[in-house]
Amino acid sequence: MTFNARTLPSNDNVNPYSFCVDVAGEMFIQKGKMIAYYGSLRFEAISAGPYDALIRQSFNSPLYANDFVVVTGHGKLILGDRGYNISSFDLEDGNLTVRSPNMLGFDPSLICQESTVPGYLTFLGTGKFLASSNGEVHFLEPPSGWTRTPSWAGPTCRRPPTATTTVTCAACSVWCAAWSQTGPRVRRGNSTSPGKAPSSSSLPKPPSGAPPTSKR
Amino acid sequence: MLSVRLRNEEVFAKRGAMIAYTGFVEFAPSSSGSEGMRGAAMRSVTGERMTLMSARGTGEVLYAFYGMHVTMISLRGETFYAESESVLAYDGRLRSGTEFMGQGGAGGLIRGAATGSGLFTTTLEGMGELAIVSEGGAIALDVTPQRPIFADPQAYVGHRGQIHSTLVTDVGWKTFVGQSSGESYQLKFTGQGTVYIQAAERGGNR
Repeated sequence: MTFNARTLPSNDNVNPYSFCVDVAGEMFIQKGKMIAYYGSLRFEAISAGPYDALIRQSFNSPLYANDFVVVTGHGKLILGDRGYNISSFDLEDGNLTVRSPNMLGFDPSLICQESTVPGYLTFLGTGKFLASSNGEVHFLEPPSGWTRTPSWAGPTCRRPPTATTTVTCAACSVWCAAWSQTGPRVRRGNSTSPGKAPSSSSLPKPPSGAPPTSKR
Repeated sequence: MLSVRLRNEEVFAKRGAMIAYTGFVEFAPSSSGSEGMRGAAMRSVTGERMTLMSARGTGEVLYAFYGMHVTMISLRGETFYAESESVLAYDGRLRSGTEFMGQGGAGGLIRGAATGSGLFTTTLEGMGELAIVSEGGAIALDVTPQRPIFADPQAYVGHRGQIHSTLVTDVGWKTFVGQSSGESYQLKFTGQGTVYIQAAERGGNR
């Protein structure tokens, strides 16, 4: 199957390992993850200058300023990350934390902040983002007594380097963080990527009664 | 994984990529593939090395390379240009060779040096089948005179057709003070044909 600018999927996976974004306007992507594009796009470093207003509004993470770039223009952008699986997610007025090397790109409608967990980024607001995972994303239901902080999600999900299909750090921490603080407001955005991502209706419900930061 | 059924035929493959076989197949190291002495000399001079192994006989041979995806490409008399490390195996009927990619004068030279792909590329020509390896499968993208495509040199796997590639840079003073966009080098493909890319950057931090 040969793709061209017209037949490439729009905002969907080309195959499980690459994703095509219709760029119209601005978007943040991780540096070096562009594999190809049609159209006229420009890649501008975060600190380069012309997008100061945009960056002030949505990129509040100086530690990672050198890891992301702003894409502008119109075109079809294909992203890939080390042959990892790529999924798109919709965040709806939510709050979620991702391991920074697995965050491939996000809409400027989201606000990016450094997480309290080192190596993680927290996203606030409504918009789409793309994350990569070594193997498919697994959604886990947090333990029922768990209410406090999402910080355990990152460290405990470290997988042995040889495992290819276990829980990914990114996904797990994404989910736990999102669940713990704002309830189930993240859903898988792309349609063709394989996987057993639950639809938003089947996502685990937060335990009723207990306020988010009560007893552990 | 690639399975090749041989009926008294010959196939060339990356050395060490054979993982199993059945039948009566003879393997022999082949430094030159199907390109003869001149080709071998060309390769050793240009550094566009492909350490190959030929398999000849009747039977079935399985090839694999680090769990990478295999994409089959059939050639009908055209020429396929590939990065030598992406070639897994090809039909004994195809002629392989090396081609100088620095045609664009200084631009071409810079391209080879900057992208790390060197100044030469491997060509395969004729009627037959070719298997290339890539991370996550090779994506075929059309290039037409109206719609050029830009690709990351590290994600580029190969191309076919009447395609001209040029290196586009946005290297400026920013690059040298660490403010580069990270996509400083892009290959621009113009003309008519198909470009194959993979979902990963070669030589990345795996």
